[in-house]
Amino acid sequence: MAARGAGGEEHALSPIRSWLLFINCLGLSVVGPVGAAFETGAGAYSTALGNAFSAGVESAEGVWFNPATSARLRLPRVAITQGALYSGLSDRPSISAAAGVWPRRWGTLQAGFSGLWADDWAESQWLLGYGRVLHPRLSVGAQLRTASWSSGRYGQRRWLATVGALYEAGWVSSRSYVRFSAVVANIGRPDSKSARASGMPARSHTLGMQVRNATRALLLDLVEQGGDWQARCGYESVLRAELKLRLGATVLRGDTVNKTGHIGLGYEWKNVHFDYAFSRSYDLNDFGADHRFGIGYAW
Amino acid sequence: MVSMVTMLTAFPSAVDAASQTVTWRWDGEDASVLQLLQTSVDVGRGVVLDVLSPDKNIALGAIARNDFGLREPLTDGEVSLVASEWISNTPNVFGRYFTVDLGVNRAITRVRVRPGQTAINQPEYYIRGYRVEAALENDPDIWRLLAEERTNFNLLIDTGADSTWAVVADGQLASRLGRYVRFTITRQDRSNWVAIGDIEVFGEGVEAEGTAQYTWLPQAPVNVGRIRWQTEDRAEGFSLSAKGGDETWSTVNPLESDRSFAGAEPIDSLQFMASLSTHDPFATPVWRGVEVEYDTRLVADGALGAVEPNAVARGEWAEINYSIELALRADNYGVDRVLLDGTALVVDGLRVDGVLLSNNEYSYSANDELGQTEIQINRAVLQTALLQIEGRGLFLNEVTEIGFRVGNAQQEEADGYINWQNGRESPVASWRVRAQGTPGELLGEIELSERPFSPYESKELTFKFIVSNLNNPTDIVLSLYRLNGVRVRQMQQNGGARPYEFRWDGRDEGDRLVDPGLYLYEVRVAGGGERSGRRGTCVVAY
Repeated sequence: MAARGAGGEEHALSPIRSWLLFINCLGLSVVGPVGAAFETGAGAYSTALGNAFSAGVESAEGVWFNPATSARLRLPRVAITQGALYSGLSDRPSISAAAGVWPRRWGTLQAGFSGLWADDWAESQWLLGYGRVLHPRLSVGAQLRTASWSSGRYGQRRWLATVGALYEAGWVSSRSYVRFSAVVANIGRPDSKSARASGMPARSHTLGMQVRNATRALLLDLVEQGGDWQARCGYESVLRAELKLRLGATVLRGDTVNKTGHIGLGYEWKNVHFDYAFSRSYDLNDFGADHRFGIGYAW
Repeated sequence: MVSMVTMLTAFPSAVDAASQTVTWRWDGEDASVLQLLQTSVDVGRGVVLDVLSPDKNIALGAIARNDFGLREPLTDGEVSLVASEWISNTPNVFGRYFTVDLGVNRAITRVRVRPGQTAINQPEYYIRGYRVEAALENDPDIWRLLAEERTNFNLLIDTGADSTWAVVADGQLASRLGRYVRFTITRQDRSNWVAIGDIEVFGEGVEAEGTAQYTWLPQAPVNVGRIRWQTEDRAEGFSLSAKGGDETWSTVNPLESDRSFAGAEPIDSLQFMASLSTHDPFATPVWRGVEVEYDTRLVADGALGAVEPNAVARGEWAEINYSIELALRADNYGVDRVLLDGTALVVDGLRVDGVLLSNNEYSYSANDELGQTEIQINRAVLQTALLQIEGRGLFLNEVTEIGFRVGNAQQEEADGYINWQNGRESPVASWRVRAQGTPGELLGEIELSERPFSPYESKELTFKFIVSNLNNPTDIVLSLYRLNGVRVRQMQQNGGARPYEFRWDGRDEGDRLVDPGLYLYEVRVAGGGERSGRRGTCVVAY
């Protein structure tokens, strides 16, 4: 069972109109090199929740974290984010991301891209995927991604695959709905060890869960990627019917530790939602904050 | 007995030069040549710290504070009214305490608390009850009891005269180690104030510090070379300084053996000052002796240096002219090496008595890190001459003192090391350069050698920048991070205001080549406050 508020009404939408909207969404993104959520997070919605979103089904941004989450969406959705990283830098990198899901009778199609730009550096990631409900409690999904970077006369491109599953544990108490997730991302050649040497994202393994009720949600993810471990935590609370407060924290343990705090707001107006996320690293405090603005639409 | 050994060191016969060595050993009985302060000569060992007299008040001059952390005049040896005593000004004195910091751990045998002048005049100002405790240097919060009297009637509290001393070992009264001594008033009388004059502490073992001085008068002016010394075991409590004539003391670092004398030369007297100290009240460092290499044959009879102009624009490349007046005699080595100490210059020209030398008649090297410029002249200057160095330098400190040394390759070949003869500042001109103008930023713009950086094509990515307005040497740290905030490499240099250059080979702390990607970097001046860092991105691609 999907979480309350995931949307129950089906809006009539002609197939042609749907395709046009979908292509339009992708078209917006193809302005220059496109997108990488390799290391910095993708959308404003999910970043505000500390990127603990592998069990998050409330936004199209879920395609960046788990291809199975889109199977739980009943309506076509898109989400676009524009952000600036490390505001303390004079040559601050910028990030753009877009994701869209298109539920059909036989499953859900999904597409997305993210891009990161800085002086003499561009990296991008595209994805196409499919999610399907196998059982009332179990959804699965798979994606094909292509990741690339370029700098001067150097550059690389790789094809990668991601698979994920979402398990609806259901109402474990009268007030708590629980779902679990498992994702293996960036499967393909080169393998995990040599992926980094080519500048590509290494294979990652994620376990996550979400506990929520009508007004609050708690999300947790544990991620292993190329030997680094990351714990992600997010919390969302409804301040008013249309206004949500989001908090998040991530702790990344590589050769050193980086702890980052996130805070964000979400505002819904009819079928449109506006999101903002502010992130600041405790360990890189002097580098400044990340700001992300997002807009989403559901038909 | 002090034995003085002078020996001539053998050198290759082809070179008509040789330094000499003079050695003093302090393991004899006669210490008449030494000026000793809280030190003595232990026959067969050397100079040691004096044994502590049981009557010596080791708290004299120490810092005493009350229970509010404010200083009190209770360790000045006086008990006079107002200036040297503490008066409670209230009868509520229960729990008031005073802490005396002895500086290092001492073996405390006795504590005496003298009444203030007010209490001497009015004996009802005496202390009704007290407790004395001590705490160690490493455990300043753990107090151990020394003495306690809950009902006291004595005006003078003396743990050596009464029976309050609580420290007993093997049935005997014993000392207790402690750096801090706390005296607490544990009883009060509703009607009377309390006046305390002085807190005195007595101990056993050896003095905490002391000095020994010796002055050597060579028969003729000499150029002093390396200085070595011998100590017994506890070398960490020993340091030696040396100065010539009326120079100020320049510390010779005991951790760096064979370091050359740093004062102006030639000298006709050399004064040593050894400082001995201990943190263990029953152990002393031992100074066994000292050995000095010197040369009676001088590089030059005299050398006076000065720079022009004495004021330049801060942080901008400035042309300077450094003049060295060389006085040479026939028996001097002559000058074919000059080391300017204080700045790294770009040398544009070198003149000897006004004659410009061609580029193949001299060479130079500059070291930004050390702030030095070394010039090698192919043909030694053997007669009195004026040496003029024309160059360009970057001056960042308010005042930069450019000292100089002169040397000779023949001497270096003979002794196996270059015994620089340190020059003096000209009495009629200055060797100081003052940087004027608005102080620039602490940390200047950071220049990266390339972007993107490919470790396979260029072996190193260099980060160049200038640190200004730094009077004391400090750590300059470059940190590199992946975009997700994980640090991959950190490098550090130590120095003052000068240009810096960090070289990164593209490898992380584990010596693995980092992945292609966008990296964050941060350069930070330690202790520099908010504006002490600069940050940016660099690109690694291959």
